[in-house]
Amino acid sequence: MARTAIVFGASGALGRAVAASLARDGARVGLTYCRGEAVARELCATLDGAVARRLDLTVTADIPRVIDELAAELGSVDAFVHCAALFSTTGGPVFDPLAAVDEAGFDRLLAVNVRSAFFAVQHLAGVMKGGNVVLVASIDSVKSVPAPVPYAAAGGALVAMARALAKDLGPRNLRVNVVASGVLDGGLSTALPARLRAEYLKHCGLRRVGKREEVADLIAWLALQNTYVTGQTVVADGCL
Amino acid sequence: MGLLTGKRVLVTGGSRGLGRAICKAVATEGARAVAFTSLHGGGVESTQDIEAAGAEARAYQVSTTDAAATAQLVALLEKEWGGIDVLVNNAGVSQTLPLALIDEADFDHVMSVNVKGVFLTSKAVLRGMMRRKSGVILNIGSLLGLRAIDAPVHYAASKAAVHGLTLAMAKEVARHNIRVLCLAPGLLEDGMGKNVPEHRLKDFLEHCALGRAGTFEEVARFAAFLVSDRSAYTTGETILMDGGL
Repeated sequence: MARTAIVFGASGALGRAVAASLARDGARVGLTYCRGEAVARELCATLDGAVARRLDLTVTADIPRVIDELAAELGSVDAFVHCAALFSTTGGPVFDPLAAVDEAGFDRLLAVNVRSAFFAVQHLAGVMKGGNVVLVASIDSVKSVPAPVPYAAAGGALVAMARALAKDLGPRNLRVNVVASGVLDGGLSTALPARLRAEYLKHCGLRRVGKREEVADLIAWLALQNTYVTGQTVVADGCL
Repeated sequence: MGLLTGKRVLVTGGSRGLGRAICKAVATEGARAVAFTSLHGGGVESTQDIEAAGAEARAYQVSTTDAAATAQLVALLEKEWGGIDVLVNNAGVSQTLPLALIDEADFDHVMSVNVKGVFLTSKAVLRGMMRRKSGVILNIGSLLGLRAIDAPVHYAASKAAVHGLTLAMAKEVARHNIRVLCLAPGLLEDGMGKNVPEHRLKDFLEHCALGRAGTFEEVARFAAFLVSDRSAYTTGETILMDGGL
């Protein structure tokens, strides 16, 4: 059973549920936030031994430094969860129309959703002594559904990255997987237009949105208890 | 508190190998009662494992291809337990044969146990689950049904069928709040993995990211999680557990 975990994007709606699930399952959590300082402070106050650092994931140079600081506080890193993502290239909770995407916005989204995951894992490969990496994406990275194109492309990149990382890091007993969630009861899902959300629900077998805790529990299992799943994308979408 | 506290679980092919490990894992996670079937009887060790974990154990000699016997067993458990919360369709067979040597009877046998058995047992159990608007079915698939690997053709075809069956069944019963999943292991240390020729085993390990075969216990632990309420939004999926092949 792993004892320490770093969570990027822990102040987000799903991220805080992930931090809570990890802590419930016995892990000390080191978390990062960008704008959600109040949430991070609350998590540190409520989760046993949790520590937090501010980290802007568009600043690649800060990633190894913050990981090292958290690792020093935690004493080790047994698991890493990348749970930080922008849904829109504008940074707001909106569904990007294709024509509205500009280069700077595209680059920013890719920097947060994908590049930061790569450079975090690149650094963590030298810090972690085995364990699990879980990257968080959405259903649009594996299934054909209406989605903002940059966001879906970023998720697809994580899926492919996890496969290649799994091969690269397997010999060091590091496993890398993706959890791709469907429409949830909070977080980025709330940016879906009402008509699209209704369409998702119509096609969802369970006919309900997922609870963040349900996805967080899956992430926590893969982060703390998994020993043989690697390179996979595990979908939690209620059967879309 | 365990992940499966109070649950009533039926595991097919539960007397040995992966089935035995799953019986033990679900009992360890707090299942109230675990019944398992086996084709040839036996299963003393499974019974001991389940009871040692504090659950009620029941062993039945039933072929999953026998529709009447399966329906009878499910009716008995429904009556005496009040319901079945989790079904694990684990029973399966394989034969290490090249295509040219697989005759019609071989093909029918493997498809019958690995596909029809899953269908018949699921159908029998689903009636009660639909009535109670709750339940989970976990099918055991295989890497060989998903990837191009030298493998007995009928076995690979049967496991691919299980993946398809999982998709359609999950979609159909999701409205009743029933989840259907498939866990597809790669090469495991024991069981059917024992029949892999040495040169293929070496090749597999070279290409496997984790550089080793999996264990029954690892797969069983994940199985116990997937059938638990902690995994309540995952359904219709086939999840490959192969160490990164």
